[in-house]
Amino acid sequence: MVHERDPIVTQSIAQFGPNRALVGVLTEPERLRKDRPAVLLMNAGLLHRVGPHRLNRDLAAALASDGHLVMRFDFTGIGDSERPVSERDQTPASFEEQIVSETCAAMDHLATTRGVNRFVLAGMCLGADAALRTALTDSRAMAIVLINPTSLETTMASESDSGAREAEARGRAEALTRTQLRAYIRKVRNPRNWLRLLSGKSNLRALVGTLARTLRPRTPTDTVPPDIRVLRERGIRCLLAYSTESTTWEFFRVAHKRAIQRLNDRTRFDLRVVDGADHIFTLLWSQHHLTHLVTTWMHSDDHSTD
Amino acid sequence: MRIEPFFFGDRGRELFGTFHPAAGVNPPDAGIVLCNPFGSEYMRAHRAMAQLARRLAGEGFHVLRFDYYGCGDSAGDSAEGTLAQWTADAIMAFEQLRAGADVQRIFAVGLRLGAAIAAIASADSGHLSGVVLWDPVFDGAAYLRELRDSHAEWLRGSAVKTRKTPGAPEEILGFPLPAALADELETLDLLELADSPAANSLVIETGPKPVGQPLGDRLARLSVLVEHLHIPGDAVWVKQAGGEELRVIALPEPTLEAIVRWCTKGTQS
Repeated sequence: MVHERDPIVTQSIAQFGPNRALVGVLTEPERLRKDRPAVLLMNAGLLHRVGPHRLNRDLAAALASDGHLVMRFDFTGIGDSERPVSERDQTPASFEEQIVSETCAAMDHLATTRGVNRFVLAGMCLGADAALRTALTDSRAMAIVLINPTSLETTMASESDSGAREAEARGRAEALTRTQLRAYIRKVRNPRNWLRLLSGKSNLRALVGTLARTLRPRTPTDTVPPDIRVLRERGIRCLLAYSTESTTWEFFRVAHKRAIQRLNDRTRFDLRVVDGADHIFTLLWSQHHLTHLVTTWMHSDDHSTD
Repeated sequence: MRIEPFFFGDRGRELFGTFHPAAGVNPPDAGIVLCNPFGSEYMRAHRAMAQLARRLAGEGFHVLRFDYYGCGDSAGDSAEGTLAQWTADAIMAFEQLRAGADVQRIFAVGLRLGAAIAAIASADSGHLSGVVLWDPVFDGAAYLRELRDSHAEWLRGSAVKTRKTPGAPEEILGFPLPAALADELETLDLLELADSPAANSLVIETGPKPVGQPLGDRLARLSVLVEHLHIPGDAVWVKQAGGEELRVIALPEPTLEAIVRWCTKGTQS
């Protein structure tokens, strides 16, 4: 794991953005490799910049030990980043606009203070949304790592299309149902859960509802998400990582998997699926697997010498 | 007031701290150190602890939040944490706040295992003015069983695949539980606390039934003036029922208000 190949990495504080209200932690090795892009790690959902189970911190240490300058930071309203007092009376931008502008502010900060102009944007869940949306608008993003993104469910391109939104909503509901079903199947294998069922302690209504929903016809879609098409056109490298026990994977599997796999060249576009991991990579093996997956992809790329 | 994040402690073993300077023009004479819970409880309670710090600072206290060694943004691998180390970290945080913010009186607020750490560190350092024990872990063996049961329950309700890795530590809901820490928890018993942690203490519980009376009694026998509050509500350190992962985090308003009120009252007396 990280510390077996860990040269000395140091951490320092970064405060940037309007009124320096955004808070981040920089991780870097003793010998920074200038030929390697800086990496920004964004919030996973509402969790602060450390990430679920310290995943962002461990990933930052692993990437820094390979020569990258890494910054993990909090969006306004999460962790230590507060909305500046001077802005509290103003109508805030939409959250989607906010996370893009704050990711750009993070890049501006490293460009100004460290002279970095090439970035890999990485994140899980909400962080993946931020990475994708920013990469679509800021050319400094040369690669993105999307871990269990929800952003492919509500693509920017489909926001104005009510039919597409409805299809996505159906797909999301189906994905949730199938994830629940797999959890039930696992429970069925455990004799203690049969005792719970027979003693009336199980939620029978929820179980029957899940089974009924699973038997309904599925939404017939299989397309490349428009945002992915745009990324490819612009030559932005993309690692798309899913865990099979995340509802985001269930949706993606039905709506996009076959179409996306046709794009999968392992170099410019790489789809990886971690079998048996949950949405936030709770088990230690899955955390190590994800860290290895991301660092390997970073090293096998060609963007350090672009 | 803008917060001031910083690292402190020995090089290579730095702890991450967040200083919340007191609001208002008069420099306070009291500071408060917040002690986090452990593992996934830390992860889920972070927002509540940050909010508590902001509110205490708003009431005129200098506040320091910090991450133990091997936790959060601090140095160290997650498998390196020990109770002894974290207790030493808390004492270092007390001194950091006392010296850095130039305050005479230090209070500590700890949640769950952080409450136990706050109590032990306060007793060891010997000069705290007050300690708030929020849903304190006082029976380490019972806590260890609770952690293991929670992990087993989560596994039963999930379709994740488990894998055995030779030499890997035991794991609890995403965090390693090294053998040394498990051994320390097994013998942790605040009912055996020998020295008074502080002159005043608030024991605050949010579960359906209060269970902390024995701890209150023990503190009283150590000449601590104890107030015991029961405010049933959300357990902020666990995944919220029905909440989508990463999208719902509870903020226990009545509990935060009660802690702020007690600290304000305590520093005026």
